[in-house]
Amino acid sequence: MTDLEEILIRTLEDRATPEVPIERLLTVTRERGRRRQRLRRVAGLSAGGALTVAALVGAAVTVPALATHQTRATGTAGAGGGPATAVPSAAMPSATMPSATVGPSAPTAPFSTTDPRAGLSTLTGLPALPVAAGAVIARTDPAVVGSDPLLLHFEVDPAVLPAQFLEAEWRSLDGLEDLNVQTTKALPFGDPGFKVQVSHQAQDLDKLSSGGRRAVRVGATTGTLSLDQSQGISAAELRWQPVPGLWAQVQVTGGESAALRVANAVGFDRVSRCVVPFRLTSVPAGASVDSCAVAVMTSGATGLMSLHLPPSASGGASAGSDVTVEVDRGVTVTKPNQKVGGRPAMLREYQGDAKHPVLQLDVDHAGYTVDLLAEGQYDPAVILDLANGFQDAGSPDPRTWPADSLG
Amino acid sequence: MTFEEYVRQRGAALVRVARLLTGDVQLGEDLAQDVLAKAYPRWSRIVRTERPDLYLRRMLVNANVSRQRRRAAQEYVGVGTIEGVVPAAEHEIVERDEIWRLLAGLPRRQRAAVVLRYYEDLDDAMIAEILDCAPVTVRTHVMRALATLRERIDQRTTPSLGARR
Repeated sequence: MTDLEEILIRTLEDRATPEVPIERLLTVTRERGRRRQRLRRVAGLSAGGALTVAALVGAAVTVPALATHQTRATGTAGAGGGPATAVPSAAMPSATMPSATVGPSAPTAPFSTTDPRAGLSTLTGLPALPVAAGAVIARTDPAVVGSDPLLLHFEVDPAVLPAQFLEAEWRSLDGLEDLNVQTTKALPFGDPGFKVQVSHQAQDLDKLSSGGRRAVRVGATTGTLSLDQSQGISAAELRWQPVPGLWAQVQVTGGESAALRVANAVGFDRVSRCVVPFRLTSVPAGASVDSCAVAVMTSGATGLMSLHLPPSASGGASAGSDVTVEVDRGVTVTKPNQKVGGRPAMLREYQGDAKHPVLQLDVDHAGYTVDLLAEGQYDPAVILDLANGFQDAGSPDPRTWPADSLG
Repeated sequence: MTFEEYVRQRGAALVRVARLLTGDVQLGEDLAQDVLAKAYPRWSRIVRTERPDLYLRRMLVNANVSRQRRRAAQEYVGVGTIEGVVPAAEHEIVERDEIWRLLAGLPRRQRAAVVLRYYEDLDDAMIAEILDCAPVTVRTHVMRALATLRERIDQRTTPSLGARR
């Protein structure tokens, strides 16, 4: 443990120390909790469900025309080839879905590192990611889910997305693909937002709550619904298997109808690309992608890509090294100590977990920062090359972002 | 375990974490009250999970994120006044005040990861569950937080900390 960590612990202990008036805490929380319970019983049994579902329903968003990029082979299965192919929004149930609220009309996609919408208090309409034409779909071969971090093997009909939201993030990592949407307003009785998770292994999904489970129909199959029925409407979780070997789960703020609505809007007949708003033009040969994430936030778009570098690009270390490249809008380069591509940059090396060396390089791109974080036996020259090769996608539309961000 | 039993046994710890997440005694207590009040109506479900600590900490982190979004960053500028801090040697007080101010400037999830690791002493897997992310992301949050603290300490040239790194 470093001196910094030690003083950090002492600081936190000191600041947390003042006595907590437990009896007052208990009295206040019990009183407020009971009031909340009464309100839930009244509203939850009458209009709560409708309110919650309404909050999850947005105006239809036009799905952009399909892109035709090819994904990069990353050494894992899933990209390109195979007997089954992705089809354009084939089996989506949006046409028959009722709309409970009227949201804004379809917007332009709020993506880009040079996003003109950055700074908005809320976002409307979720942009579609480009389609990976020709990729094997999950319904045909569930094993493709999570096998290639550059592919997302599910989609959600935009009609069930919130009319307004604060953040939406797609991720593919550790065999799990998911979409998290954080809505703008607190819903009546729970934390706002919803999550969709897809994997070919049930253990990759969030653990279902233990209470209040029962079977429900999801399309042609049976799923397990878990919700807090005894306390009115709060959160619901629904897990099902669209086909044998494929697992999906939704978590929503709302009850059974909200969970079913979202679950029925999840499709497995199209494959999208996890694209990021940048290209890395100086990637060492043999590098592979470990994970990918792309997020839309009110501050603009961000993207993250983790790479595994081979021994030849890791100072000869047999295990290679890992580097994460991320567009970050929350960090500024306050004390540059060098230039990278003519831009102010801060390079630091320090000891990380388990005494592993860490290199952090933050490059100021005037409006956002590109952060590179390398761990293991990295080669600093390779990391600098990576940073030098960073190119902004320069567009607010993810359909124009590079299908292959490496090279 | 009843709600009352939980609050009596674990309520103080929850409030203390909330103080560290918010950077303020009163805000922390308010936040913990909010979370416990929300938990009360669904306590039977929460306790059935057999992990009420995890559940409530997740609620706490999420509630703090929502609070920050609503109130924006200006609230964090003034962080730093917590009464009743245990006395320490003068140079230590200066260091801790400095660290405390710097913690207030960290992004919310980095700060949460730091609090959960260095105050709650939780492992990465547990923190990842609370923050709803992968353990590797937790490590990244902590590494970035420590790097930022070091950088800002260097900028402010606090001699005692800088010299010992």
